[in-house]
Amino acid sequence: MAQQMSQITKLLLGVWMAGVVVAMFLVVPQYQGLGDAGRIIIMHVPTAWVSVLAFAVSAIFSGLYLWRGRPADDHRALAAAESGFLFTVLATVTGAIFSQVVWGIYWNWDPRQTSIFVLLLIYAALFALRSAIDHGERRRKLSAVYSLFAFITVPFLMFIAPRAADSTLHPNCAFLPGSKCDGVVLAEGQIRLLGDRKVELLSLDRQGDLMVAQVEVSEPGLTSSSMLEPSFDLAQGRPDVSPNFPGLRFQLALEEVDTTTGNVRLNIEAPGTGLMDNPRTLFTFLASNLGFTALFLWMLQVRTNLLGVRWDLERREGALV
Amino acid sequence: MMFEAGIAIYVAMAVALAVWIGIFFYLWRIDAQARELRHRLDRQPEREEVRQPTATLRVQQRPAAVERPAEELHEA
Repeated sequence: MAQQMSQITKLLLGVWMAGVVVAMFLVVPQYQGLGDAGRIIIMHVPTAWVSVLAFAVSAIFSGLYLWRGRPADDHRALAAAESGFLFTVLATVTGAIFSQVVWGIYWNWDPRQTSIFVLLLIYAALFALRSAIDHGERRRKLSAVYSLFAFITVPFLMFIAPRAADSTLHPNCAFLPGSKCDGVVLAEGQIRLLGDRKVELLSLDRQGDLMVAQVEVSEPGLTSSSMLEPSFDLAQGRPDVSPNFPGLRFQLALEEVDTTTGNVRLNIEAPGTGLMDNPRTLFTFLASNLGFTALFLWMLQVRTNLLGVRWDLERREGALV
Repeated sequence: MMFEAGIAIYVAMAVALAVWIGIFFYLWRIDAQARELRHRLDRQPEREEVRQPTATLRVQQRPAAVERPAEELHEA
C-alpha cells in the first residue's frame, strides 16, 4: 500500500513539473524589458532554493552521523550534498543565461556569481576529500565534519554576501527584501557609485512639470562614459523617462527630486523588479518551488538507496574497511 | 521557421518538456532498479563469517644474569 502511494506520488510529481514547464511558457506573462527570457526565473530561483535546502539536509545528516555513527546517515548526507551540488550548477547555468540576456555577458564576476562559484568550489572539495580517503570510517567522519563547516558558509554566500555588496547587478530587489535597493542621493556636481558604475549629476533642469537630469555614467574601470538624461514627472510624482545603461537592459531612473535643495535620487531599475506582483507569475513560481523540492526529496531517496546497496555489497564481499 | 517569434516559444516549451520527461523516466528507472536490488539483497542470506586465522605469540624470557665476583671468574 505504502509502495503504491509512493509510486502515485512520483507520477503526480511528473505531471506537476510538466504543468510547471507548460505554465512557465504559456501562463506566465512576458516581463517588461526582458521579454520571454525572463521566464527562466521560474527555474532559476527554485533550483537555488533547493540547493540551500539540500546542503542543510546534508549538514543535518552529517551531524547525525557524528552523533549516532550509522552509515545510513552518511549515505543521506552524501546524497543530499550531491543533489545540492547539482542544483547549484543548474542555478549557476540558468543565472548565466539570464545574465547574457540582461547584462550582455554570461559571466562578469558579479558578487552574486562569485559567491555561488565559491560555494561550488567548497562542495567540490567535499567530494575530492571523500575520494582521497580510503578508510571507510575515517572518510565518513572527516566528510561529516567538513560538511558541517561547509554549511556554515552557505547562508553567508547565498544570502548575506549578495545583499551586503553594493555593486551587484543581480536583480535582488525583486526577490530579496532588505537588499540595498535605495539608489544614491546626489546634488549637482556630485559623484557617487551606483551599482558598479560611477554616476555624476552634471545638471538638473526644469521643463514644465518635468525635471530632467543630465547624468554622466562611467563604465566599470572608467573605460568609457556616456550621457543619460532621466526625467521625473513632478505632477505625477514618479519617474518619467528612464534611459537604458549603454549595452544593458538596466535603466537609470530619477526616482526623487527635491526642488528646494536640488538633491535627486538616482537608482538602477532592473527589469523584472516587482514581477511577483502578477498572480500568475507568483503561483507558477510557488508551484515550481514545490515541484523542485519534491524532486530533490525523490533524488535523495534514490541516491541514498543506491549508496546503501553499494555499502551492503561491499560489506558482504568483505571489502569494507 | 522554428525561430519565428510565434513558434519559437512552443519549440522552447517542447524542448523543456522533452528534457523533463527524459529526466523523469531516467529517475523512475533508476529508482525501480535500486529498489529491486535492495529487495534481492534483503532476501539473500548473509555469508557466514569467514574465520580469521589466529596465532599466539609467546615471548620467552632469558634468565637473568648472575653476578659473580671477579676472583671466582678468574679461578674458573
